[in-house]
Amino acid sequence: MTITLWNNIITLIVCRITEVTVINKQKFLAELGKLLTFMYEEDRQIALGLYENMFDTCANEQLLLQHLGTPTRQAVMVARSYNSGERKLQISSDSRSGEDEAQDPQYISVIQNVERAFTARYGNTQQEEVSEDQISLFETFDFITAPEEPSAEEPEQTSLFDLLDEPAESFIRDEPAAEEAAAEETEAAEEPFEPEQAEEPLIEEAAEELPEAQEEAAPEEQPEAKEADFVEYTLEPVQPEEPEEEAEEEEDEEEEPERIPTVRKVKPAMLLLYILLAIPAIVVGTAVLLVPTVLFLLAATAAVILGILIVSFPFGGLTVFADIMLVLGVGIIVLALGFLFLWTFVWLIGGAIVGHIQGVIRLGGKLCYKEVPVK
Amino acid sequence: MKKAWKVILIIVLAAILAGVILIAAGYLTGADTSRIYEGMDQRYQLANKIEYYKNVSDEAFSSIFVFGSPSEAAPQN
Repeated sequence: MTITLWNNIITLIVCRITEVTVINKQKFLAELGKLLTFMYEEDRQIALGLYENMFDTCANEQLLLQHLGTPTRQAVMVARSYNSGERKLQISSDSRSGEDEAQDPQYISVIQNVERAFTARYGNTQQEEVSEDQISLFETFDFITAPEEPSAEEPEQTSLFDLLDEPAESFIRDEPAAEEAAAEETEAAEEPFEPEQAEEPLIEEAAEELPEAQEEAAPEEQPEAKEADFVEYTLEPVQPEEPEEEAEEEEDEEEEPERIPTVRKVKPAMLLLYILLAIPAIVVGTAVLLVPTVLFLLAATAAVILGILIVSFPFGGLTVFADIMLVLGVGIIVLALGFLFLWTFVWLIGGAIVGHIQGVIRLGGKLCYKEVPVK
Repeated sequence: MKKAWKVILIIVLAAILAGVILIAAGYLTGADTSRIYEGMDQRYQLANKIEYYKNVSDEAFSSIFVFGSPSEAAPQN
């Protein structure tokens, strides 16, 4: 147990280090894809598509990566805005109403907010073409931009919720205070991008993305308070809205075909005809079945009385042990037959006669009624 | 109902098997049916009862066949 815990901690630390130090678009999207497995597949593809589009439209990939931070951070943001239960209801209601203009789910707006925040902060980098004679600001960051093949030793993050179970401090990196970050933000458009920004905190980004964080991120507040807000934003325990059992039940419900409500309508002529035929059939059938029933009752009574007489006889009238055994054997057989006749009588009364009547009534229900779908 | 039938049949078959075993054991150890019949006759007067039921059945049959028994009604050559 302890070894497994330590292994998980080490794995997470290694993941975090690899995320921070070496990352590019493909790696970011791959990691994000793994972390968003809690979403429905369609939503996951949409979210990944939005992030990919963000990368495609952005000329400066590294700047965008710095803005986005780690895939874990983005996954937490999406997870906070994603409610699988509501999402399912929304999908079903959209499909039923057939409206083309379905309301965008919340997680899409969150991702779009991230993109807007990036655009607002760094300007539109979409159309910026760097001429060959210009010096790239990021040429020195070969260790970042160099595409790395994913190593086999890299541990896999199987679920976002594994990461969400971490203590809150694990999500916070060593970051400067929010005021310093705000000051840097104002200078960001003018000043060249510096390597230290690779480790820049993402507090101000979170403040832009969440309205409540914007309200609380006033410049006069203390840095500690802002950091607390950020912690509250990013590290609130995100629980899966639906346990696995509920999800399975819902899947089962989905698999069941929808039943069309129907109403039973009587066919009057058929019902009248059937009643006329069924009453004599029940009477005759019951009478026929009553004959063997009564015979079995008589036989059972006679066998039981005879068996009792036979069994009781040898104890008073016989002296030879062999004779006693013989008579006892006969008496037991007669009693057994009497018991069998008695049970047959009960079965004829409770099973055959009642079953016959119920069968006739059930047949009438099938023949004289029809199922009509409710309009 | 099928389970009840199974239980009843098992009980009945077991009782019949026990009876057959007792009868076989009685015969093997020297049981005599005439001796048993005598004992029963002494206790229940079986001979008298059998004679009584024979007479009753004969009277009943004679009343059913108004013209006498089929053997009596047949023309004699």
